[in-house]
Amino acid sequence: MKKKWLVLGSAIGISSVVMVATGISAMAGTSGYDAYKSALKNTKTVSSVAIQAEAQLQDNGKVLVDASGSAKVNVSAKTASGSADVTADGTKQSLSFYKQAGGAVLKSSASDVFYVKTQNAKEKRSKPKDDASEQQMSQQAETVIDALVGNLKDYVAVNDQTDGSKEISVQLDNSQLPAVVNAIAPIAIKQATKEHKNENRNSGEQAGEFPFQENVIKSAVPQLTQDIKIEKVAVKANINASNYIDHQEADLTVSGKDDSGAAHQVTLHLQADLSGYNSTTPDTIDLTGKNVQQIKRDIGKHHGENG
Amino acid sequence: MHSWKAGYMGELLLLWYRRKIAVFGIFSVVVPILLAASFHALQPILGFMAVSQSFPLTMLGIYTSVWIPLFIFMAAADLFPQEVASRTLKLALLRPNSRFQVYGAKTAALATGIAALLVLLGIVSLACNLFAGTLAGFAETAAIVKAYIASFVSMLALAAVFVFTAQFFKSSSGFMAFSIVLYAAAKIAPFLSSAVAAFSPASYTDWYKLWLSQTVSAGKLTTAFLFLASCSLLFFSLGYYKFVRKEV
Repeated sequence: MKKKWLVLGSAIGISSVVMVATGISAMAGTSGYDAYKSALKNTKTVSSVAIQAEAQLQDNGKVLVDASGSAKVNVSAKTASGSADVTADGTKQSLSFYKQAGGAVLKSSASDVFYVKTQNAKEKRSKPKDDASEQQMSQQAETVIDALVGNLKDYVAVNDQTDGSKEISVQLDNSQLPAVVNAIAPIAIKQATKEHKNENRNSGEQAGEFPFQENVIKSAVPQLTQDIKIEKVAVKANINASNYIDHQEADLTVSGKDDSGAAHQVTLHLQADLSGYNSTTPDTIDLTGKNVQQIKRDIGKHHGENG
Repeated sequence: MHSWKAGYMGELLLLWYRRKIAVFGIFSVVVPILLAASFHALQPILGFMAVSQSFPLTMLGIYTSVWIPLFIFMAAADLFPQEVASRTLKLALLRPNSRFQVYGAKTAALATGIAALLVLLGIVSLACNLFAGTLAGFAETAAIVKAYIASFVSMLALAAVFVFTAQFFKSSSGFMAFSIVLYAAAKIAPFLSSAVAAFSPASYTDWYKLWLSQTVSAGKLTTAFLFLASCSLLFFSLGYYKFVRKEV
């Protein structure tokens, strides 16, 4: 009889110790997910940064759209400057932009006109942020995101380098994505590629309209209508020794068929390099004596999605 | 050994002869077929997710988070509180076997039920793939089998927790209601505090996904496996402790 209780007691003892130990090690967060999270939070605190970004869209290996750009951003002063090149369907369009005290300035390489969007008083008077409540909000959001990510966070691999930097990578293929994402993504993709069909805006230069043809980009994308499936999502990031993200890239592969039944494999590649933390000064432009035109439409609305 | 086997077979037969268990089994087979058929039918209209090679894994996700836990509550309610309520537990204990054998046989019968559900689901969803013409290759099938085995481990841990919980109840309906609330609470808790997730077997229902990835380190898998195994053993032992001290 005594032996039975001994066995039972030791079973309970050992298993509870192991359970607590493994639970704590799971909670301690040595995963790449937590490393990335902390670097992301740290990177958010920089006051200025220089960004080099590139985006590429391919269909069955053929490059459809290629965009690259660089920007200098000062978060605390709310100023920025940069330039971007977009190549779609063999036509290249370049533009440069400045966000400075007087407002936003856009210039296309195709013309000498500077397009200016003056900041109205309403936008200028931004609300003073309540730091404490914002922090609490983000804390709660973090818990919710952690719970949603759940066990997927163990997918994030971390590779420590000798110079103190870290390589973070995660790759999910179709069967590893949450069922909800798998169910909703095809509908979203179908909608996103369908929209431009009806939009037949004439691209003639109207007064006050910025000469940038986003239609070229949209019509280059194949319209997927059936068997749409996310094949693969891969994200990579480098975190430098001072816990800033200095390189980030993402790949998304979607497969599907268009109306004629032809199979497409569309891949989107995004990458960004960050440098000059807290030591970047955005360029400014002096508009005196330049050909300036006021913009009537809200530009940010229709080319914001081009990256 | 013989009496153990007899007890186990007896418990299995008892489960088998209950109509609701049979209904549960039939539903488990029909649901994937219905879903596969509807996905297939909706696909041209909505471009909805096709019955793809990963269909068995999509189904596994649904089953391990909702369907099999429900089965665990129901079967555990039948095996323990129900027998106490209808005063039939005495009959099992009057037989020439120890309380450990009775308890072990009941738990083993529950585990067999879970395994049977998983096997059924695996076969049916793979058959759906066959009919949809998207049969997985050998490597994919191996991955699917691995995921199903991993799910079985996490379901065992969950079953152990609820077998332990069942010892506190004298009526099966009370136990059912409490289990559903407890399980829902365990699923919601990580949204309020992330520390809970690390210690709750309910947050491991989808851990089979870890086995599908090449990037997850062996250490992670070992830790998670040890957690589930120790959780199973702990609650199995605690449940036994309660069961032994029960006055019938």
